[in-house]
Amino acid sequence: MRTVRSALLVLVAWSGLQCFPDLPDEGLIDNLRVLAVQADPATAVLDTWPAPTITVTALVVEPDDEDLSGAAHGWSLALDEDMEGNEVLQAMVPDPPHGTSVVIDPGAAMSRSGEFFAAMLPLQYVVTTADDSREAMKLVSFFVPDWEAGDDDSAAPTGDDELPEGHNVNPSFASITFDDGVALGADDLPGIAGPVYAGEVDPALGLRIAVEVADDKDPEDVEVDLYWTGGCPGLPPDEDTLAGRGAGAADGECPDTDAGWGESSTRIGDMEQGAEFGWTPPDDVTGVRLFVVLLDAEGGQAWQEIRPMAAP
Amino acid sequence: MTSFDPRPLLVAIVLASMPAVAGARENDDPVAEDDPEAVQAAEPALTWPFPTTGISVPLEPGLLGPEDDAVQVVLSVAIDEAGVVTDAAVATPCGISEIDAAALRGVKLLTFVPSTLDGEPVAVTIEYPVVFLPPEPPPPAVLPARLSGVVEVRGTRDPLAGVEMALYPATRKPPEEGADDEDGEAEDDDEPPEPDDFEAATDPILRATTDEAGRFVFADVPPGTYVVTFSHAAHRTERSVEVLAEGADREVIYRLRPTGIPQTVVVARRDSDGPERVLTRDQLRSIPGAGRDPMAAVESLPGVVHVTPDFTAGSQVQAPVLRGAAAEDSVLYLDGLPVPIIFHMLSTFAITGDDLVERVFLKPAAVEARYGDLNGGVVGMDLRSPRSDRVGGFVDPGIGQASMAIEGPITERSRFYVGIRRSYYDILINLVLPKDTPVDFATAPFFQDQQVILEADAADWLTLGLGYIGTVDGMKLLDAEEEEDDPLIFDMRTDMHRIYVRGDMETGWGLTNRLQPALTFWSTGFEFTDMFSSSDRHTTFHLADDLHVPVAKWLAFKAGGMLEVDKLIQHRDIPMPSREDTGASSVSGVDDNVVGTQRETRTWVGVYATAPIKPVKQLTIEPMFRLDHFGSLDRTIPQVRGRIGVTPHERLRLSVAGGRYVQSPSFSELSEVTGNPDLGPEGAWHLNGGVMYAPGPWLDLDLQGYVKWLDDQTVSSVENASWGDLADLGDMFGIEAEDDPTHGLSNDGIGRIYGMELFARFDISRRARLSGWLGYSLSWAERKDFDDEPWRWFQHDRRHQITALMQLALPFEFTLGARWQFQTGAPMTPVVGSVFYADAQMFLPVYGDLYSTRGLPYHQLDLRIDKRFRKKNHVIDIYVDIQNVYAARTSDFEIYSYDYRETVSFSMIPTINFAVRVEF
Repeated sequence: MRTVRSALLVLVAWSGLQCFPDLPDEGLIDNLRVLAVQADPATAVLDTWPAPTITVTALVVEPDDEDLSGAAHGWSLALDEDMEGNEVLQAMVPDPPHGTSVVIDPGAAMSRSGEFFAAMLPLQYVVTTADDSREAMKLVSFFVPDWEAGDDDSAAPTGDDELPEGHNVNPSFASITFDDGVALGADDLPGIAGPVYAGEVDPALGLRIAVEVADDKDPEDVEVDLYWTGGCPGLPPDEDTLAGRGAGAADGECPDTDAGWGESSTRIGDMEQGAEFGWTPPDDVTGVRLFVVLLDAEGGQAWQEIRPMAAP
Repeated sequence: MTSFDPRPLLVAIVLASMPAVAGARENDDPVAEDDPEAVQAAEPALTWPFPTTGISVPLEPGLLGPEDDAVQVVLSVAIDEAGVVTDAAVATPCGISEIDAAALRGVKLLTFVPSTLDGEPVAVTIEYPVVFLPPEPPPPAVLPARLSGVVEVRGTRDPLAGVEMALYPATRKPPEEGADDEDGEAEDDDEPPEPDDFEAATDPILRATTDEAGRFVFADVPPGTYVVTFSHAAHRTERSVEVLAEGADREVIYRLRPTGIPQTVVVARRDSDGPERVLTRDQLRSIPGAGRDPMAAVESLPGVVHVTPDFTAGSQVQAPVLRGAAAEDSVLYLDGLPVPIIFHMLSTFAITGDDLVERVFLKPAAVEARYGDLNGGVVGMDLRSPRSDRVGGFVDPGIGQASMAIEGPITERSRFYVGIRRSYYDILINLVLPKDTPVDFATAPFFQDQQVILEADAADWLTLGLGYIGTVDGMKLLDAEEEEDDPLIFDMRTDMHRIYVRGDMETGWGLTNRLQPALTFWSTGFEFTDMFSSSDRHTTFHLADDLHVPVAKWLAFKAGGMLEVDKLIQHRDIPMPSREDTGASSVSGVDDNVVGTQRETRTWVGVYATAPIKPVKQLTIEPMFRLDHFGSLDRTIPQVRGRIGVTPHERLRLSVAGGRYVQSPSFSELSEVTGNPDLGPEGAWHLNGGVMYAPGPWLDLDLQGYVKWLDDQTVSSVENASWGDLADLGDMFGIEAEDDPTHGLSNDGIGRIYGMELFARFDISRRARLSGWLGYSLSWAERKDFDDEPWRWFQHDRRHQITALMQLALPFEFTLGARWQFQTGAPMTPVVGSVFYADAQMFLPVYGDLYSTRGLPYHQLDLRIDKRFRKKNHVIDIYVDIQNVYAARTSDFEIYSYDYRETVSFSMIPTINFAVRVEF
């Protein structure tokens, strides 16, 4: 992906453009945002009765409303009205009120052996606050038994070791290491369930975040991104660099690292199985949150919230 | 002889004193007439008479020639006391009575100092010899000189016809005192004399005018020193000193410098009753903001819509957008034949430079019957013949590209041209691109074009031509970090090679015919990683013939035809292409690519006939008929067109033109892979009215009004992908996707385009020359894709369009130019929201109504400075062209923020184009 972006940059430069306008950095969360939507399981296999449910959770961040107390949530399947079976399928989504998570229940007996085919349903999520609204779409993937196949020689999936081709699981963290020191292993990372604490961050040194992804996926297929509600991407520049660039994060403005292209990839280094990010805190880190989001090639997602403070 | 002509009558000299004395001595003594004795007695004191004057006595011609000896006649002369000759007689004749008589006549005119005897005058008779000397031989005849030669343009050495020449006798001015002493340098004899050092007569003794070859002759010029003046309009008057010796035959070459003040920039054709504008070769080279590119110059004319530069390879739509038409509705002609590619893929340059282009013409609508398979207009480039007078050419290093050409005579009746141009951006990119760049230019961006033309006069009435026009563009980008088998990121390539033969016949009574077969090999290709790929490979044969027969003074007949056979191989692996008027689309995946390869041979035959009639001098009526057969549509379609023009006043021309136009849908639209093979032809009715008024030679006004109705336009019913389309439930609910053989394309679209254009051209010339034009276009272009949809703006709707162009030509071939263009923002389909697509961790736009808003207005200022240096045998042309001087912010390049909530526009920085061309 980076290579393609680089290629596009070269092409744009080739076309003679010189004045790059400033655009908001995608990594900075300064308004209501949906950062990720995770379906768990990433790919459901509906071969048991009752059919397994699918829990879909949105990572929604409102910088000024951490608890999202003023937000309304809505989940629905985004199907064409004239689509055959629309009403039946919509029943998979529970009635409101909704939260940031929803449990999708196929609600039908699909347990019989036979061949499976991949299916996909677009699940729409809308979060609305008094001032803003965001819409997100998640393709919920699952395998449906082929009712036409009947009992034949086709092997019915009966366990994880016989998952159909194309089955996916969400990516996961192997570890997150802060400043080459404290390493949190998979068991220490609550993931979408809650934040981890990086401890106090020295504004002069910033925070180095090394993210290692579990090796059950090709690292090339897992994108790692960092988002923040305050501070600046990257480590604090040294004094010489600051002199050349003017004020840094301490003055409320970020050095010109990735500004202008909406580039969320703020990594300061690549790892064999992950990425390394730098982050510079603002003067007051109260309420500041960081999010590391994983995305695999099939749409599987996971995230971990990081709070730049000592654990309460 | 009573008349006296000193030259032919010769001269008889009466030798007065010495012959008289001698005669007296020879005759011994003088004798006193009255008293011989006294004379005897006073002998010692007698003095001799001697004549007081001498006279000349003319002889009749032929009596004595220069070759004869002197003739003597001895006379007996009686002289009285007063010295008067009282009597004379021939004593000894010479043998020629006429000479004797002449001697007698002459002696009687003499007066003498009388003889004296002892101091007293006395009458005497003496024998007096008169000698006639032969006449001096005449001076030799003076042989006249001859001065002839050629007057040519300095540097280019083009012969100049109509140069007024005058020959003034001159004398060198006396040197000013101390003039040579100040620097102590002696005058260099090798330096040609300066005219200022000579005083020329007020009136010339001879005048002459150069002929078409620039030649002149001054014959029978008396030897001497002359100042020659030669003057010509648009050139500076020059002088030269010529010293012509007796009988000299001097051949000279005089060179004139142009004043640097160009001729009229744009000519609104007065002989056409359709809207048509022409830019000549000289004009193309100096349009501000256009470099020297012929096609860029065309975009300065009203009615040509500025569109965002499209660097997409594989696009077969290269024509400019004319009067609100789709680009694919207009056609491009190169030297009389349709051409699929006229721009280089990676630039906005035309595929032939200005050097070979004779003219570029723009017919924005209501074109004549010669042109078919179009709903819009025609843009054409005509190429010139190679020069036949001498070998010449040019070298132009350029910025980013270099070009050169050489041309000249092969024999007296044949000539050649060879030219090539190539960009060297690739070298620059490879120099500046860091080594660790994650991309690798396997083929750095480049473009190249080349031209070869051979031409021969097979007979006085027949000229044959053989030509090759070629262009190659390419760019290939690899992932330098990709270690696997397929590192390709981006690959674009275009090439075209055309070989043509041309026969131009012209009889003495005005019949002309051009026959032109051509074979064109061309292809385009585009790949982007493994996501998209597209390629077209064509072999196209053209055969065109155009005949013009002047039947009578008031009637002519024009007819011709065109055969086009196109064998193509088309490959597509791309998302379903959207026609330009179907708006933006969301692409959320690559699964919907249309994939396929098609091989086909398509044939188009068109014939036409017109008959311009001039019932009176002021009125022209031209009915036109055209018949097209489209093999791929299996349709033969007649079309009627016509033109009427009237000149109620010598400065005013009124015209109406229009008719029916049809075109075949494009290759992609008819393709089984990406289009609908059952589509029918697209049609249009054009109506154009024009008023051309020239209140004076310094101003030309051209007002055009037009209406176009479009019918059976190809439109797409494919709507933007919805999220519901991504629902994939197999046959759970009996849903089975069906392939649509039409790919959503139909002929349901209609359109209407109407507006007016004002084109005011001015040309004010005094010591400098201010010329240029002001163009204004007011236009509406609307489309309706289906009956149940409302009219909407078309993609190329531009309400207002202004072009102001000025050129100030100063002496010494120094020219300043400026061009400012403005046009209303292009219609855009607004983004009214966005959806976070979690599976790709990106936002996707949500679009509003098709083309329901507009982008920022387009405007740009260009400045240009030209200077031409002329040396004896070559010219150095330098120009600096600064484009987009104030870095206008337009919607040409816009980007959205990551969530499509904000939009920013790029400002293109000013671009400086600098070039030095040496022509020899």
